[in-house]
Amino acid sequence: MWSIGGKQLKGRLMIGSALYPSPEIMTEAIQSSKSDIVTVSLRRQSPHDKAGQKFWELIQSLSINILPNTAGCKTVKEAIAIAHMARELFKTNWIKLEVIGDDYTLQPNTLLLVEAARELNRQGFEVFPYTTEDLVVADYLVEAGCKTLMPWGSPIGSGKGLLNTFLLKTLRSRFPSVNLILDAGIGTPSHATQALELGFDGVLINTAIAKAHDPIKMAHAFYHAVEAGRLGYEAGLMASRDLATPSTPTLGTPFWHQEK
Amino acid sequence: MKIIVNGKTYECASSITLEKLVEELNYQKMHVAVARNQEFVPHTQYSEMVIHEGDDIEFVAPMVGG
Repeated sequence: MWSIGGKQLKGRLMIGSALYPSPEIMTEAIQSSKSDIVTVSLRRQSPHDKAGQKFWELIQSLSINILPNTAGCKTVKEAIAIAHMARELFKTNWIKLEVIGDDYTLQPNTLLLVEAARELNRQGFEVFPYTTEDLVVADYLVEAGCKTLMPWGSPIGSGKGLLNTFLLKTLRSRFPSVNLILDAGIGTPSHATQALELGFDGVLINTAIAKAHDPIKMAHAFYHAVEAGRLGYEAGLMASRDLATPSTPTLGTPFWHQEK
Repeated sequence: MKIIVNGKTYECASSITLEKLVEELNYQKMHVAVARNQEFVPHTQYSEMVIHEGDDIEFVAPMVGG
């Protein structure tokens, strides 16, 4: 068990609810992932469209923790309004804070992110900021009251994996008591394993599962990948080296002659 | 008077409350939250909140997200 946002959780895989071929497949994939947290959003609702209501009933039936996001927000004001609306609708003070600064890379606007995070923490939210791997920004977010950071591995939906493992490792070593969740860019189960091996506390996956040929099976693959990565981290990875060292004993090697 | 509802112009009676607007638009039985001019309006304030000409109202509901 580990703790995040004031809750004790078992699994370290968080899953998104978007982009699935159907609501049924989404439901089965979430169950197959054994995730304890699912992310959701808020979108404009027409009074004639019941999609929002149906989705809400579906998510509630899963009985897992809901992490609403502020996806699409570009200003502090928008993000704060969405956070408040999410708190009323989902009855949670958790908010995955996204303030986007660039439409092509969906890179967070970290200046505004820090400002919004400070204000939302002050207002009693448990803020999960979607950020970059920037060490100094992370420091500001922690100083603003964030107990969890969600750095990207690579741009959202790109599937490129962990592009800057050096800085991601640095975040781990410099913030040992902050929950680090790798968010965005993971494309394969092995990327998730890599994040957990680096000591990240968890990963959030959406596109890599939802866009797989078989999202339900892929969700299960990610469950095992995350478990493997965490076990590996806890077991302690061997130090890497540049030259080979034989694992089989050299003493007593057959056909070996000293004069050669 | 003219206001904006979810990005579109909407014609309604002047001095209408948010509560009345919710009824008029058939949102009353739906799980929605509201923002007025990009500021959240708690459900408890709908009956007191008077809408003004040009106000920008957003009705949002739970949706899929990553």
